[in-house]
Amino acid sequence: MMKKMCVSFSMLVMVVLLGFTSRASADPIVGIIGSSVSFPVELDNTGNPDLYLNGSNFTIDSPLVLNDMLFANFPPVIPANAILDGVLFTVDLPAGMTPGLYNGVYSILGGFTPDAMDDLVDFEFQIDAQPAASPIPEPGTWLLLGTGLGLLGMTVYGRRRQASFGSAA
Amino acid sequence: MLTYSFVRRNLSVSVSLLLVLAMFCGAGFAQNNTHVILSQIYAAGGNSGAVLNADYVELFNPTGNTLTLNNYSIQYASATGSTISTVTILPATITLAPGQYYLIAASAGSNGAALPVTPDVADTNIAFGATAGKVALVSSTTKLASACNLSDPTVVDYVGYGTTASCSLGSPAPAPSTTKADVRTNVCTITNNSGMEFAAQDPAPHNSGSTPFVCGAPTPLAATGQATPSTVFSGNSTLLTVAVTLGTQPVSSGIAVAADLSAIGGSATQTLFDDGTNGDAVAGDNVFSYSAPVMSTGSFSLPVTVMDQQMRSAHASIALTVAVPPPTVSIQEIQSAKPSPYATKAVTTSGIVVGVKSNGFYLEAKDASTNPTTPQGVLVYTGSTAKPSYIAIGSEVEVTGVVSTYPTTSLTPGTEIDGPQTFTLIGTSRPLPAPVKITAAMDSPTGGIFQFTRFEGMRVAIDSFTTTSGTDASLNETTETNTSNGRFYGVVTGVPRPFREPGVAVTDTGFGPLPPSVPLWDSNPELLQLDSIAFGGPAINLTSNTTLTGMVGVMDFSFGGPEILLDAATRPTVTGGMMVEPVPAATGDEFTIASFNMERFYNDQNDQDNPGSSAVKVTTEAYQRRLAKASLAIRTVLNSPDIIGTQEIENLAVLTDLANKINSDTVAAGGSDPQYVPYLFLANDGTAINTGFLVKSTRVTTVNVEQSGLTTTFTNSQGKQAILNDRTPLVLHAGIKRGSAADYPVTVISVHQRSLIDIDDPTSTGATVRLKREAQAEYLAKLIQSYQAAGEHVVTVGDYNSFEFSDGFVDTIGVTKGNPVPADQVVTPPVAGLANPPLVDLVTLLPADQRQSYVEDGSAQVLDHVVVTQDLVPTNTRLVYAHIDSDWPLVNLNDATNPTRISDHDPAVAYFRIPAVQGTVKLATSSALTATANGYQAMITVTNNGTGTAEDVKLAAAVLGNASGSPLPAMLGDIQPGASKTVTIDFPASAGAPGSATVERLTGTYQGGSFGGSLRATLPVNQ
Repeated sequence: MMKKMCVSFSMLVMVVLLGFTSRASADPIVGIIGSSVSFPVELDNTGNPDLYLNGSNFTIDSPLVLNDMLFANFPPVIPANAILDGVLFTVDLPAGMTPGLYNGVYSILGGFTPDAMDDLVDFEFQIDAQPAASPIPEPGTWLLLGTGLGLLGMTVYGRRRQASFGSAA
Repeated sequence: MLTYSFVRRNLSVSVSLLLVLAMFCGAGFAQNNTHVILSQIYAAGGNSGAVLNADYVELFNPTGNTLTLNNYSIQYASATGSTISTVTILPATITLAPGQYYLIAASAGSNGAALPVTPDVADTNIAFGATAGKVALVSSTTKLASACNLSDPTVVDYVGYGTTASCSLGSPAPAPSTTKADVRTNVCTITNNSGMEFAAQDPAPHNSGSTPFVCGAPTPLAATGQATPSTVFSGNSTLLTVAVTLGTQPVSSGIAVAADLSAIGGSATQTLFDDGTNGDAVAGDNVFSYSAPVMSTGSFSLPVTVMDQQMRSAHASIALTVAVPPPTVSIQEIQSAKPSPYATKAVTTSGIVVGVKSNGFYLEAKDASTNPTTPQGVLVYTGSTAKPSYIAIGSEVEVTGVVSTYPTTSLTPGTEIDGPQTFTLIGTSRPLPAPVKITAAMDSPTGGIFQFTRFEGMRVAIDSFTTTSGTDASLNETTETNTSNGRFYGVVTGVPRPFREPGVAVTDTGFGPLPPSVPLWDSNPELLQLDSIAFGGPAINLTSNTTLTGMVGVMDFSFGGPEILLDAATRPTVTGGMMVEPVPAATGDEFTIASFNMERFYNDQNDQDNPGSSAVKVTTEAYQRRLAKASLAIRTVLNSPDIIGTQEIENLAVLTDLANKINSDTVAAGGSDPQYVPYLFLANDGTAINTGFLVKSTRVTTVNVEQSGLTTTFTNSQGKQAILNDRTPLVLHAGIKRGSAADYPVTVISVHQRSLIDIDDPTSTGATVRLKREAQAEYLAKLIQSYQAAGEHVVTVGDYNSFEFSDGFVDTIGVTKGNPVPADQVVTPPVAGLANPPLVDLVTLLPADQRQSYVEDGSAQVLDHVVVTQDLVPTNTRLVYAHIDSDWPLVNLNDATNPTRISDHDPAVAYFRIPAVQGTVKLATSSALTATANGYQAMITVTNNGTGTAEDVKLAAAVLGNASGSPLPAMLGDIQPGASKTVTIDFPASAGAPGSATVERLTGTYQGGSFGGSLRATLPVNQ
């Protein structure tokens, strides 16, 4: 499963973000227990000046594990009028966990100065943890899943100019 | 100062025609006095220890005229009071002849003898302060507008007495006592300076029928005689003295004194001398003396004749008892039983002086056993009589005196040799008897109260001794300074610290026979008292749990229990002792409620809001010192509790000063202002000690504060209604702040119940005390129940003046909780079930050896409790006593920089978990980096931006670059919505070079989830 989100940063960034979070919380993302969910995003700095990505915060229900990819997948600065793609974070659904709905929130911190730590955007999400439909092949689980996610990501990437927000695959 | 001319203006008496005639006739009366005066005041009548059972005031007519007093009154104000508290209206008309007295008495109390003369007016409402006060004789029945308006024309005479009297003619008259009245030493000379005119003397009231003493009349030659000693053994001598009062008009001269000593084997015309010979102490002082040998035995009244050259004579007599010389007995024979078979009899005995104190010395038998069955030593009590200079350690002395038992009310009294005494030195520098070594095995908690009586008067030694109290002292309350008396309690090292146990103390015999099922407490017979100064050594000021090694002294029972007086020369080594231990800091998910009895916390003002009270106006230095100590204790030892229930605070002004002091001291120390807010209502206690609250408004929202039971009464032992709550329960309805969520509501009650004083009194006084304690407990239980029934979370804190169990007389704590002991186990029948479900006394959750907020005669005990409704007792609720008072030497009160001995009570701090708010959790991290000598330091803040409480938040990991921080994990407790927690984490220099860019990664958990943050950072440069 993969979802891709497009976030625009400008002087009107908060308006954009509120619309984003509202839709995210109303639409649980299905995750398979024993696997991971990736959260690829498109970060769009629609205005001037350059935008600094200086940090992140997250909170997530147990036993889900959030892996923060901000600094791994994005540069420190989004130039003016630039758009960047990448996986913002992934969420592991440990084997043996109880099926059900789990909540999380991910925030990007930054601003228009090198040391700004403003809360730029809150990604509130809900994951519907479901058991696998059939036994997952032992050796090739992650390979297959990664391949599938990669194909899906490429598909969404191709449509990024049109979509402001991607739904779960 | 009131002048003579003023007094004259104040006359409103009727002067008879006789006065006019006398003035014109030039009679020989020295008429410098023109009004009735106050001539005696006795102010402790009926009090414990009083010699007379009623207060009285005596009037006297010092003039040569008959005076008529129309509609007079006696008006009284307390020592520091600014208004008249009592007006005693005298009969409408009182006529006093020259030199005539008039006696006005109060209603009789329960202690002391009846007045020796019948009062002219009895059973009045007089109620003078025992040792200080102000009394006015007023020519009106109208209350004076002020207690110190000496220019009021109706004030005829005025006496301020006692050192604290705020108003007086000249200086105040000396303080009277239970045994002394303030007496005018010369009723004929009025100087308007009470301090000079009055002396504290044995009370000797006169009534209108007493022999008049007319000022200014000729006085006859007079004499009184006495023998010193007045009881003497045949073969010895006694000093006969005759004090002669010269006649006047004309003054006597050429005095000759002779006594008829034929009855005792002397001359029938024996001359007495006033020339410094024959035993006369001072030549020419009109005291005539003769040292007379006595041979006959019996009781005699020796006639004395005094003559002057003016051919006047006077007669007197000298009482003398001559006894048969007493038998010579050994100390062991004297001490062979208790009471001694020689009690009340004169004996002669001898021994080695093993200890000398100001009012006596100890003799131990030369052949004393170190394993005696009965004592081998004895106290020779000399009182204020000077001892011969040879009474010194190591002297062998023969003593003749009367054997007595003291104190007679004790189950373990001492035996002593009282006066009249004679002493004979047998030898000096004798070796001292070997001391009896008291071991831990001999100091038995189950050994009973008589286990040390066999060592009375003997030298004893203890290898190692552990104290169970701080050193005692005497208090000057005006300056709030203590002077050490060097006395403290303890046990032989190895014996467990003794605690109070349920029931009536076996040494408490005042009440009389108890119901058979009432439990008895053994009074902790393992306790030994020590006196470090009685034999002349310096005071040892120490805390509980101090060790003294190499201790040698003499075992004494003259205070009714075992006490060792330490040798002056051989001093013990003192080690150990207590340190101030702050209570644990509350975690972020806790709130704290404290109880603090601050023991008569008065200010330096004559406050107008408690008129008539006996509140002490302390010095400004004393007040500021107490404020500083209290602030220090509350901030640094109690860790600034969220709510403090206070007791024994004079008024709101004092509590306000304390709140301001804590707030400003906190800021000065670098903290944030806690913004304590004081709450206090005055109640009924005549000593102006009241309950109150300090509320930390940064953490607590005060909804309201209300006083309960101000006018509530109970039925006392005499069937009368009396005020129930001297100190009223004070109720605080408050909310504990929970960030942006709703406050957590609590109801807190500050309590100060009736003390245990007189609980064992067998008279109506004690019965009323017991009824009052029971009634207070019932009242409080019902009050708590009213809140409990409404679903409120109730916390009561305060000085319950009760143990955590029944004292055998009243089960106050049991009644309050709702589950007292059965009725047959307590003197006062308890009422059960008033609080339902029963309340929980948090002290009962502590291990037995931690149950202490007070020390009484060396026994640790609990008087201060935190009693709560059951809903507040989850597993993590706890109670901690801050032992900063009860275990410490009283002289620490004098030190403003020391938080100990602010009071006699240890404060208590109770910790409660703030319930979590249900909702979403959203934790955000932030960090502020600084460079340190060893690397970097981060102030990491975790903020809860959600709507629910994040419980048990733990920062599990912090990585700066590739370097891990420490100490971790950091337990942050609960974080309420909108609230933050901050923790300091150190990173090594390997995190990166100063000025370089890096990433700080933080991860953690909370109950039900995890959180984290990644923060870009530029490593700071050390400035």
